[in-house]
Amino acid sequence: MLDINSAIVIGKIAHENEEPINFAVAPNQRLIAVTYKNHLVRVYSIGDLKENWKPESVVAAFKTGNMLGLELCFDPSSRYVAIATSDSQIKVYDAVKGF
Amino acid sequence: MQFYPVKDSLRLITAGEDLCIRVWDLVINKEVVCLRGFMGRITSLAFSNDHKTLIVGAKDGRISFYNAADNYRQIAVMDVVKDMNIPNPLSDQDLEVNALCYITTTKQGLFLAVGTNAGQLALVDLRTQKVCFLEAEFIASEIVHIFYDESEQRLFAVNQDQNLFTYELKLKKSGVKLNKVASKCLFLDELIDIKFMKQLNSDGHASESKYAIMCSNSETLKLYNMMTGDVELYHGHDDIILCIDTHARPGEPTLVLTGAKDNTVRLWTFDPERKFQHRLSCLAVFKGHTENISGVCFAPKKREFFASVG
Repeated sequence: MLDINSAIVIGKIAHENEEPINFAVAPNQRLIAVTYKNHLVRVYSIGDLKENWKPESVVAAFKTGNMLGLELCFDPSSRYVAIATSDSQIKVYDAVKGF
Repeated sequence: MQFYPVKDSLRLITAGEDLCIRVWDLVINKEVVCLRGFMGRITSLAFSNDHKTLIVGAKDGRISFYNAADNYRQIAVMDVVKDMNIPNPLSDQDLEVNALCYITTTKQGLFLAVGTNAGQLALVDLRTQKVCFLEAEFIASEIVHIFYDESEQRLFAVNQDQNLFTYELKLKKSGVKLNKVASKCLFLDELIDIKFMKQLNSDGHASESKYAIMCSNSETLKLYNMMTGDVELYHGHDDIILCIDTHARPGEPTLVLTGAKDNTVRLWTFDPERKFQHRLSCLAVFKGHTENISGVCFAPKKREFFASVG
């Protein structure tokens, strides 16, 4: 997470041995969804943006089958997240419930 | 991929490698529109603020406009070179649209910010459909993303070299202008060499310098302001810069040498008093090496001499 005025990284989402592919921030700016190379998707609650930021919590974690989640976006209500996977499919999930 | 920006409409717009844009209705789980006719990969989707117009940028160098309220009927297709007058500086490549975003202002109207594969950032006035501002040289490497912060009236562009450029939208009676306010380095891919820009006063004492010069797996020389975090990009080498040396002499501008994979050595002069993006200027290019330049250094006492190894 970058402070856009100073270009200083204020915090990170990092999990050992898990490489992220892509991410999307919900329009309500409360959630961030990240796809990983191990086919996992995690939806985090962003929480307060301050120094030494880290996400408040993981609100959902689910797998995109055995495919990579290449591209994702939230719907305007921030409830659903659409994920395009490497098998040319798009699946729409409830971002909080994870199904 | 983008949702139609109206809550609860549950329409998803996707652009695929099949060069089609599809609109999906998620309530009935069906594709309801398929837009064809693109000659290159679709790189960007944007909606106008009233959600009525879908704007599409593609690698074929064209920007297409569709009426979302009328089943995505095509309104116009514009070539960025022929119709919008964005010049193509690339001798061996067509100009491509890499990113775009829609800007609306209360007084001056509607604008489209367009980022190209030539590193150009253009502001197109949608009333005249012509470019009203063009940042042509500074960004240099391909623009990969543009976004606009309406509350601050700031436009941000990210290039392939992972630099972030911030522009302020200035509204004047004569028109609209983008003022560059910051240029940040987000990520350095393999920092290869770095030197602090030492300066000597006329009495021979070293003065504090807030600048460092560095190269990082790129043909761009980066002058880094350690106080503000701003980075200035200087172009000249045609391939990755591998080594840097500097030489300061009392009362004179500091000199910089760079050696690169393009088999050349460049000599630069540094003046911290000059304005942003003009502090370094290339004085000379030295050719003759037949391999990469792996090291450069000034003679410690006589800076009229330097050595390079290739």
